[in-house]
Amino acid sequence: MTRGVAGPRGGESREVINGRNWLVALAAVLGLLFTAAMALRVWQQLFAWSAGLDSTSPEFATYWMPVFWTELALLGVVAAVWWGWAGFIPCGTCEAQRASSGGVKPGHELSHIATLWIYTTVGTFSAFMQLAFFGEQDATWHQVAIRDTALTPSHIPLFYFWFPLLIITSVATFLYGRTRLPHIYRDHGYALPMLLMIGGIFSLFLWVAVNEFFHSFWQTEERFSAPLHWGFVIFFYVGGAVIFSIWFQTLPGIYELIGQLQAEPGETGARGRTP
Amino acid sequence: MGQLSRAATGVAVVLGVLAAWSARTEAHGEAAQDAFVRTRTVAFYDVQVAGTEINSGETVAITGKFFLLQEWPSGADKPGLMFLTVAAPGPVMLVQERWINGVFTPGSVALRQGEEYEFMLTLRGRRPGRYHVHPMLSIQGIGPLLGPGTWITISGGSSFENPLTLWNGETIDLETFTLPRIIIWHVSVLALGLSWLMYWIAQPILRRSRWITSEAGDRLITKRDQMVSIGLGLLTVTAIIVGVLTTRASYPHTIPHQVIKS
Amino acid sequence: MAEGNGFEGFRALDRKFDLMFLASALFLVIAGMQVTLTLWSGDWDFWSDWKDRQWWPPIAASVNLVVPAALQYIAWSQLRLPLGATFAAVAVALATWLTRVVNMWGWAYFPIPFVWPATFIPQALLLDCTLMWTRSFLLTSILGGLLWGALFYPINWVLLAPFVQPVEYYGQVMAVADVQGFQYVRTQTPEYARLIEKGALRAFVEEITVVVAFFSGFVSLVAYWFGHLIGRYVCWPIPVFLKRM
Repeated sequence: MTRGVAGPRGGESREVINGRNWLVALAAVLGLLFTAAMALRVWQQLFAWSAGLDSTSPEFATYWMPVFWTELALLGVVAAVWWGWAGFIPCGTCEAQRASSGGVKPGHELSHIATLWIYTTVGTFSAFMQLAFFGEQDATWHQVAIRDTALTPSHIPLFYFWFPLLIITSVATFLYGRTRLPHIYRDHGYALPMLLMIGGIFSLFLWVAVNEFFHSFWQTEERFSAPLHWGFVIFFYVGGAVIFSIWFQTLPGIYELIGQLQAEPGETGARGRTP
Repeated sequence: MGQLSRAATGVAVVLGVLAAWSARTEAHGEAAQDAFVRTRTVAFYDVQVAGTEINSGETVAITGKFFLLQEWPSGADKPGLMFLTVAAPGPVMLVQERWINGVFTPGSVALRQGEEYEFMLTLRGRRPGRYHVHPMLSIQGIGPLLGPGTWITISGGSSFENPLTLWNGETIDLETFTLPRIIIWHVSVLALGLSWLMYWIAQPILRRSRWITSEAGDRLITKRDQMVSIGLGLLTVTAIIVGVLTTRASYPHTIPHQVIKS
Repeated sequence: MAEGNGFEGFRALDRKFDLMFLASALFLVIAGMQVTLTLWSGDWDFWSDWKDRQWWPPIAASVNLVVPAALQYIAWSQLRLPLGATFAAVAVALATWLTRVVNMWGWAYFPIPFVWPATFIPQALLLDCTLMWTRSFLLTSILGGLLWGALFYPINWVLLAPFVQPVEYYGQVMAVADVQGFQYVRTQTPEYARLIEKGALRAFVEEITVVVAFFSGFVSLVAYWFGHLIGRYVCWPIPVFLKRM
């Protein structure tokens, strides 16, 4: 699990890892996502009833279609940049450490695991927004307003922002694992939990097509607990539940790395204490 | 060819007029319905709205007739149960009364094709604003079929009461009925749940994974944990018993939900 | 647990991972619980005029046990923590209140007395305590699962009872909840779509709620195993690697 991790050699300074920057990064990421959620929710509050009831109206074209296209464009850019960075740009620090000491230092590897966990948090927050907050909100809209398009004011954030973001995050997590934690996620092959995560979450998106198809041709009433929605639950059980698997897969490595950090010589003070 | 082109022009003109007319009258999602569903199933006529500007709390009556066509489009399922209501952007107004042919009709009905029905819907303004409202007949298997729409303006403040008199003569307000009880019960059980969670989360948690497979795993649940679980378990059971008994004493007369179909 | 054996140094770093795990797991569990609640039992939980005795208790109790059961397995087998079910129940309570207030009331203007959510917390606590004491998933599924289903209606009766008081409304006998459904306009949810008990002579038997409780308990027991198997085979570290995709 921690093959390739090197301790400090003579003269090298001991790694100072306190994890605070991980929490700061996590808070910043969640703040950004929360801001996006708030922005979408406020937009709905302002323009859903006044401009969102009739998809053929000019108001709908003015206030809702631009949101739809902006979301897709923005997520396209996010996907390209994020996947490109996570999948094709190697970690300079890892390469430097391998060059100088034959392996990645335990503290740095721990930071990579923490970053992987932050990636999964982007995913779980997106899932929370998609399947919980905006998901139940979808019932609020559709049991009240007549459905005349797949691009309703509740669908536009739900299916065309948070769903794609979850897919993008799952692929980014997979790529990051393979490039930054190769001995866990690359050297033995493709990790099944990662593949199930991507597969399950992508299947969720495919089920959106099934859902709209059934709503258009078969289901005339808006019962929310209807069979045509059950695929969302099953596919999320697969794609979401394996995230626990990803966390627990890294857990032994985390403790081994912390143990190595404690065992590093060269600093006086209480043995085993980290700042 | 000349006749054909004239006929085609005529059809195009009619369709163009219909399209333009449709855009003006339809402000809701019914534009997505097939034309045969909208025009060859139910016909609304003589629809009148008694007053289009009301204050919050005041009522407005929508009266009229609808005719269920005998000849039913083959593309639509044969009509099953039907429900008379309004298409409105949410509960901005309440339906106070539903009458079909002089009979109070709270639920779904089975109506006959080829017959005319007189209806009255009494709406009560709830939220200030300007809303497009249609009488609507929902038909099982087909969906919502809207009558002509009207703009109704509701003025007034945002405080609104919805009184209802119970079996025992007590008058309640459906806007706030038992809100304190709902909040107190939810907060109480949430406090129980959060206490249990906080007790465990206050200790390191992921670290426990290191002892699971060893003998030390059996010692991960301590005597103190067991005592806390007994205490919280007893508290939970007590809360349930007290909650149920006091509720039965406070609300001794209850009936099942009523499904009234005529 | 004793802090000796060189684990003092974990204090700073692994608690950071604890925090990240809890934050992330909270969102994941909320997503799993609420998608199950809304798409398998949503209509019954959204509206007071759907909370009957025939459909609501068995459906709502059983489907909402799937994720708690999975989480119980993960928390107990990986961390020996008896809090999986309570974590799930608390998570969904916070999340459903958020959506009911912000969306149902704040966006669509339905009054909270019409759209209050059910609670699963007391039965979840008892389920976790059962696992902690029996240390057996089989016994927990039987005792805890039965309790979960059987207690669902009594626990939520505290909230529901006021809404099933009789009212005479324009000459018809209706429950308060029926009047709410009658009055508060839901354009796309016609009355015939409401899937509740339609009334039968046997429904007035005095012990009907006991019958409902037992049946809900049985269905919940089955649902427990569905959730348990998801936890056992999907959520644990799967040491499988594919050489080729």
